[in-house]
Amino acid sequence: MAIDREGLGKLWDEITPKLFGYLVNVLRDKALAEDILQATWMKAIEALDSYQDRGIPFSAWLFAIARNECKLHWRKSNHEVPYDSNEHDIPSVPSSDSAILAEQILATLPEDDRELLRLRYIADLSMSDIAKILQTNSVAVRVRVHRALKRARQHHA
Amino acid sequence: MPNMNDIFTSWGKAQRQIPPRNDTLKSEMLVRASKLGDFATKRPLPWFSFAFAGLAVLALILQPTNRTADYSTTNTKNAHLETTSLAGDDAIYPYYQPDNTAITDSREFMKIDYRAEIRARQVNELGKKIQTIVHGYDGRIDSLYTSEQYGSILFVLPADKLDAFQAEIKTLAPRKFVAETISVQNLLEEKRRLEQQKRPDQQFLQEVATVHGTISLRQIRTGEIITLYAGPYWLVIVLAIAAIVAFFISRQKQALVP
Repeated sequence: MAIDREGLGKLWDEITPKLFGYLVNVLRDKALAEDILQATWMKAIEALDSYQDRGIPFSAWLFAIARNECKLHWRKSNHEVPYDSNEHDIPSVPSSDSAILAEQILATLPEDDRELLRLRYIADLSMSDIAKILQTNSVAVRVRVHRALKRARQHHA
Repeated sequence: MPNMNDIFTSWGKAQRQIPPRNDTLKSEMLVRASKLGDFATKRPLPWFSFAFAGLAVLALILQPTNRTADYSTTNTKNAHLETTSLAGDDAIYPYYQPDNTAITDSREFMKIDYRAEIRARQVNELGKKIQTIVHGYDGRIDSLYTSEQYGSILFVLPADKLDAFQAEIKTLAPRKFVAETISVQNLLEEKRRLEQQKRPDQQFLQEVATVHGTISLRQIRTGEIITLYAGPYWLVIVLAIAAIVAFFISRQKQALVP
């Protein structure tokens, strides 16, 4: 199988902003997010052969690898890493009212809901793609996203 | 109440960002991909394809070159033969005995004998069909024998019906499965003898107006069918096809070898 460099470059340009944004939001550490980003792409490149048989979009597959890399990192670092302002990034200041609102709402939601909303709105994945990543069905995902937004509305109210 | 979907949509877009070391990371990824791409071009050789191709060449080289010719001869005087045989277009040269008839006498009294060999799967059924055809052309069956594997039909037929009869016989089986032989003899000498002896020639005329025919039937086996259509090179063809199929299968199964 010949690897198409140009195609791969375009995929990088299209997916990396979403992937990096997702990782920054999850890890709250830009340097760590870059490391995980690099590890994710390398693993994807090495496993391209197996990707052909999976039948899911490449971006969804990449995000699945990224989530696994995050879990691997947390397992190695015992997950609970106390926040250190010298090491970790100061969360960027939201640039708009809606962004401020979204951050406030997210802080009140459980982690599962936050993960769903990250995959839906930062990664811009479809319900069926999210379902494949979370190993559930798209109807369940749709219901959970709807409930997360409902909870967000209730908290805002 | 603000629309939560719109809020999170714009939030999600704002979260997307290019990493600080984007160009470096991208280059490293592409370099890694290129190296793996080099591994990918090392395809395993299609050994099965080579093996089948080699066997095909061997079969072609070892193919026997001499073919047994199918000759049919008659000792009939003044015989003129027209033949289509399973062996191909081999020329038939009859044994010719010159007679004392003057060249100025150009009369022709042709006695026709028809012979055919037909190979078919269902010999019994074919025998019945031929019987019907003979009757259909105002002919007479003089002898009929059929079994599962072999058959034989002796018949007579008006000479003027021979062409139509021949055309219909050929529709009973594929062309390669039918071999016909027609022998034609000019009975001019006999006619002259009758004239000299002043004997009535009613029987003679009847003989000229009638075709005597023999059709042999034989059951054909699958191997014979393949050989008839593919010729003696059927094994070469099969091996060549196997080589091509093995080649395409091996291309589909190419794996990324790290």
